[in-house]
Amino acid sequence: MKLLERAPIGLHFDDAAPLLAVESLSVDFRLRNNVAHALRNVSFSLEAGETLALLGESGCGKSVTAKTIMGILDVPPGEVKSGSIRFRGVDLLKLPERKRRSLRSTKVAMVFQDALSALNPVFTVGFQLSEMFTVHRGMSRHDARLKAVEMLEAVRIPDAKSRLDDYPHQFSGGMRQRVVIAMALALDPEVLIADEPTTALDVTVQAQIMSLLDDLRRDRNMGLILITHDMGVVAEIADRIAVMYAGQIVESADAIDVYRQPAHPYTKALLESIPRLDDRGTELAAIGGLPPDLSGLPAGCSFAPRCRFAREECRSDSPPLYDISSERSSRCHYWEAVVSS
Amino acid sequence: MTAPTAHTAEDLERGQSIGGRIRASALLGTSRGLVSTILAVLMITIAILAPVIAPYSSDQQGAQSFLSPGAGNLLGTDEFGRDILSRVIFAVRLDLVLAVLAIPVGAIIGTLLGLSGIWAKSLGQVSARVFDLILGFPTLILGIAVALLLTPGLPAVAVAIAIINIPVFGRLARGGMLAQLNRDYVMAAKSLGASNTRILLKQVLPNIRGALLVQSAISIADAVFIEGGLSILGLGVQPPTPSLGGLVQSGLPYITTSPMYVLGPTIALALIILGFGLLADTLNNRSET
Amino acid sequence: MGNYLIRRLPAMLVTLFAASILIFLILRLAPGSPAATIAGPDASAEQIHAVEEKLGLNAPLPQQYGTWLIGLVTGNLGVSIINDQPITTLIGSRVESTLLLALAATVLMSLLGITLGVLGGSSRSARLRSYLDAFYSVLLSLPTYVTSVLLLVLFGVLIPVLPISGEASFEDGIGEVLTYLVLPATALAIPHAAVIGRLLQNSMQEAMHEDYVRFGIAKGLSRARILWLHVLRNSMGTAIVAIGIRFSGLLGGAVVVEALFSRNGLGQLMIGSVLSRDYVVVQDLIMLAVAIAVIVQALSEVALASMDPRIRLS
Repeated sequence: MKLLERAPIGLHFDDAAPLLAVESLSVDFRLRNNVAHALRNVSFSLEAGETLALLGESGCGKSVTAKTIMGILDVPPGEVKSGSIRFRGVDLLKLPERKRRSLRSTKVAMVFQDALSALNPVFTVGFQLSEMFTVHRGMSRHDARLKAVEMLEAVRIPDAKSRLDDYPHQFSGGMRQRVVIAMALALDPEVLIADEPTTALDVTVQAQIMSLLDDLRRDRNMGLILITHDMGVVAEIADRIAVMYAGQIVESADAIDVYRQPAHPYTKALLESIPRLDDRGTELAAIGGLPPDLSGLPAGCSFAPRCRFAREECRSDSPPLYDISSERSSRCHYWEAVVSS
Repeated sequence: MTAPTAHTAEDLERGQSIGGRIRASALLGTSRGLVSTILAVLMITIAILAPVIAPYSSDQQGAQSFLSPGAGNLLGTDEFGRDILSRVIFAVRLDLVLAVLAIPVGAIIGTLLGLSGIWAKSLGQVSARVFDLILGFPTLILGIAVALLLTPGLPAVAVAIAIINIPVFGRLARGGMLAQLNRDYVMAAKSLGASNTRILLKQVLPNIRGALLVQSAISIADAVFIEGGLSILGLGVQPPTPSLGGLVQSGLPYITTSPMYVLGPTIALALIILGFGLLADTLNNRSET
Repeated sequence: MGNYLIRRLPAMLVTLFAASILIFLILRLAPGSPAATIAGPDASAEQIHAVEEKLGLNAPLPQQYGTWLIGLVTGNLGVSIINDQPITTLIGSRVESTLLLALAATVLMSLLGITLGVLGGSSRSARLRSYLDAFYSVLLSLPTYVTSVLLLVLFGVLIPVLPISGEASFEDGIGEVLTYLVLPATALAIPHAAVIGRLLQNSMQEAMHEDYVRFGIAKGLSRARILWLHVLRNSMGTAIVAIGIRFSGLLGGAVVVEALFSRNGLGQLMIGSVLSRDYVVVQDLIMLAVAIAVIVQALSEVALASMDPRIRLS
């Protein structure tokens, strides 16, 4: 067992290719009587040192994307219908499980939303962290422990050495999340996917964790995919933003452009729904309606029922991803109207 | 010895969910339900029709002793030349009749004690403690103690069965009562002057109906289990009266020469206990994924 | 660990105390005077009186209870009515047989239950799991005496390889002791193995859907490691508590098994005493059974605490 896990990966990476490139990924969920299309033709790419934010409401498919990239999707009922996920040119979906496993956490790692449930309650944090080194690098228990302390210090946990022997439930929420981050980064992966890393935390702690992630990304030149529904959280650290709705990417652009001049009605609505301190007395602008049922999608644009820019055409013709510029795209027939409004 | 009893809160809750009628599909739909229903019905039929279907009477001696199973005697004959199959059939009858007579005694006492909490709180609490204590004893040990007190025999078995059912039904009744008393509409009714009896009849009883049914099935399996255990040890029904456990006990010395003597009643015991036990499981809608 | 045990002590003592009162009262308050039943149906009044004198049944109830209780605690279990032997000797001569049986059965039920449980728990085939579940249902409903008889027929008549009655002592060698233990211990262990197996299987299956399993996969750990290290460790706790609870059920079954397999243990002593109305012996034996059950329960809770840090540190 040990020997196999230390074997060289034996994969040929393409240094010219983007760090992570998801192309036309479609994932279905087999339900009792029908099928839900959780992801439809999702494409995006990530370079080293870059932070990409996947933004959207719950149920839009961002978690499914993360899980599919990591290969931890529950395969019945989930099913990858088409598309590719290339890490440095190698399509992860085409790899045999053993090779795929060798990449997990060594090249592509993930941080979960709920740190408490992600950690095994009956083992110490030190054990679970050292595990990364003993299993993947074949280190001795002693050396692994030393590395574990290093990692805890890297994520700014005070008193790291004595904390090694504590159990998950003995940490506060923010500290626990740091532990999970430490585990994800233990083996120096090139891509880190953070799935709603701060949603379960207090606002003050949120800021700390976000800044920690940003620093770590910079120090290690990692590609960071930040998955969240909170536009405020993303503002500080995202380089690029991909907005998701009903299993599709509806807008993709540099962060600055998204905030300054959204090119999709949904993005615009999201921005407008953020309450502002100087808007006293005005009603909170929520987006009317509900996200669509992914097993019974209407014809045409998925957002049309809730869209204030919608016209005839929108309800019958599904918009493709229009290229606005080399860096921007929008899945809306009338994106020009949105941009100029 | 493990004896199945429904005495956890979750069992009660589940029972409450079938307070209404039992659908035939629920009973016969699953293979477990089908098998257990068939077994239970089969055994009850045998018990009822015993005199009619048994080829011989249970004490007819005349044939040769220890005949091997053959045309005249499907399971052979015992040491007195009696037909084993007939004796097993009458034993099934005895066991089930015993169960049907003894269980209600314990059930009624237990239910009354369990519900007593609605009139006299302290009586209810004391009863609950007593229930816990009795249920803490392994069933067979309790049966042995009863046999000690009352001289081994059929009456002792009956009393043991009754006693073990007191806390079993008592917990059920008390649990159901407490659950209902906490409901808002019951408290409202009380404040409007509804009498305790009324609350019992209208609210508590209908809600524990399902659990009572499930428990009855379990109790039948339990009762036969107790009879079997006590009689095998020589502390239960004494020969020549044919009881399932008693037949096994009589047949044990001859097990190597006439295994059918012992196998007949043993398999009957197994079928009854399994059948009613699984029936209770089915009624309780226990999911099996 | 020691701390934990000490904290359980008061509750344990209360239970033992309550049980002793219950046992005492039940035997004393039985219909008819105990002396009369002991003396027999044809005894004269003088004979009954003599029995009462001899047993100290004339004393007020609380005093009798006190005498008994003190005796229990100091190790003087009284004297058998039938053969005047000190009960401690009677018990002592048979304790080894019963203890061996109980231990063998515990080992068997743990091994069997854990093996089956892990088999079902780690399997991805829902069909296998439902077959196993049906198997468990049958196994745990069958009374020990039924499985005993079936084993007796199987090995006594059909495949006579193992002895079906009697026992061996250690002088005859471990091998002999074991051959005589196999069948009765198996009969005793079967229903409990089924309970443990089912518990473990369900517990592991549930654990498979926990987030830490998914995170383990994300950490690049192999499925085998996740299963055998992470999941099992989590589910073991439930299994251990179950084993502890099951132990007291073993005691009841042991009585039957000893009778059916002709082993000379405490169960046989119990039955013989019941038949000869030697109620002092029965009283002591029941108390012993309850005490063992209480202690084992506490021990298994301690074991659970040692496996689950959340409980230990609370």
